[in-house]
Amino acid sequence: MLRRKDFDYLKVFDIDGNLLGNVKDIIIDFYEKKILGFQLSRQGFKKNNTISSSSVISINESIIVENKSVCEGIPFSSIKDLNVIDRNGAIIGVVEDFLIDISDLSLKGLIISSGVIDKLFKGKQVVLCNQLILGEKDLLCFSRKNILFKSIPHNFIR
Amino acid sequence: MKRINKKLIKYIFLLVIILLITILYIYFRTVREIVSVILISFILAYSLKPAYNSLILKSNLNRRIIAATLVIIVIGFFVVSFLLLIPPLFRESLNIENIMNSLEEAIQQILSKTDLKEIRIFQTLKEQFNEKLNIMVMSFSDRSLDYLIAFSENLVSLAIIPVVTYYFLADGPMIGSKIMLLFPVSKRTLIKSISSDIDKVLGKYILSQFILCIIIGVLSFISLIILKVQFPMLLSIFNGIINIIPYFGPIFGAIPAIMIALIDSPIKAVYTAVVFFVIQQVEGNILSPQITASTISMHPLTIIILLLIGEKIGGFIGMILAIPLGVVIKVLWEDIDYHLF
Repeated sequence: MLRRKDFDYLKVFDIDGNLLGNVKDIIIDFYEKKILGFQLSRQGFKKNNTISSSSVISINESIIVENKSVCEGIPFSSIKDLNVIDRNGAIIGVVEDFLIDISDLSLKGLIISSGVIDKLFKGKQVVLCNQLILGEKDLLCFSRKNILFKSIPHNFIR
Repeated sequence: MKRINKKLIKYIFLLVIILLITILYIYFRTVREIVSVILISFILAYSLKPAYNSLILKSNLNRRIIAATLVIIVIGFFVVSFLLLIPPLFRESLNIENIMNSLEEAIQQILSKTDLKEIRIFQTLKEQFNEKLNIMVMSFSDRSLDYLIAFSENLVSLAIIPVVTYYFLADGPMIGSKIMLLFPVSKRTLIKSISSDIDKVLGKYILSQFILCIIIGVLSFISLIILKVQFPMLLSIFNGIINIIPYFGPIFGAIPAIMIALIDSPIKAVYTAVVFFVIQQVEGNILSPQITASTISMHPLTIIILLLIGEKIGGFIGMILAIPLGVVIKVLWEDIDYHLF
């Protein structure tokens, strides 16, 4: 399971060894719950440098792609910091991070935090993507189940 | 209960040691000198590391030879620039009095073109302005003399810096792994991952700032020579260095150049202002995003607040160091956030 920080500053190479850029953001399709591609840093004078996830061969300490196909979609930074509301209209928290399955690059869940200082006490909550609806300004979590997934501060040692 | 006590004792012990080191640093000059030498060499070695790594990859030379060559090049650059700068600097600073007089005359001329000089307020304002200017110049020359004396006092420790830098460069990884032994085993992976993150961001930032600095220095030097403004070398070097500061840098760097151009004629000052503005625009929109390949993702407001704090604490050097420190703290916070949950 990968989080956003695992993608930060990863270098993207193509098969010939040329550096295509550094990963700046991921581009997702929230309805299909998958990653469409990556947004890379500026290359030359091109401002929008994207690479499609279908050409990705391996993701490890750096990303290796087959060809330079581009993709379009919403970047994760436009979803980050949106409020997540439950069925009663109460705010559960703010979107902070995502969980991605590395084998098929699908979006499995979002990590919701309640606040910078609050999260040290209450921890962060994990909400599965199939219980979320993405709206214009907020996300709706329509889960009826009374099961909460939480991540509370724990020891650094794995 | 026993476990909590042990942890508490460990943390108090660490805190006491850190306090002791800071007190020693503040109160004893020898400690301060030693620490400064190590710190400066570390910063130099760290800034040279990208060049060192790429040279090792591309050539087959021994790594010690490469490190020694790099250090000699950088130190040689410093020494040569000092030797080239000191005579013109002396000449130019001896002329400071002339500059001050011409500045006063220029202001006098501007004022006499209007009838404002008849009004009392403007007279007193002018006198006070002249006084303040004189005091500023005197204190500036006092301080530079102090710096010069302190510099020559520390010549011995300064001569050690190249050597220490060479060792940091050549044996850096080994020193790093020895320092790792300071920490308990369980924390070592964590510290390694945090320092590699800090390394990625900081390395890019430092290298890009250096390159930008040099480019702006050269550009302003060329434009000042074309415009025939006095003291092009001094002004362009000042502009290049000050431009490291994100938002206030270009403005601060351009002000002395504009003032000195004002002495010759107001029109030249306007031309200088325009040229410097163009240089800054070129740097800001074309060069800077290219060279600062991974822009630091910090909100401009945070950068401005950091600059203000840095200026209060350390003056100009504080402003230059504030941004990298802020970047390090931000990376640290994000890493702790990641590992804590």
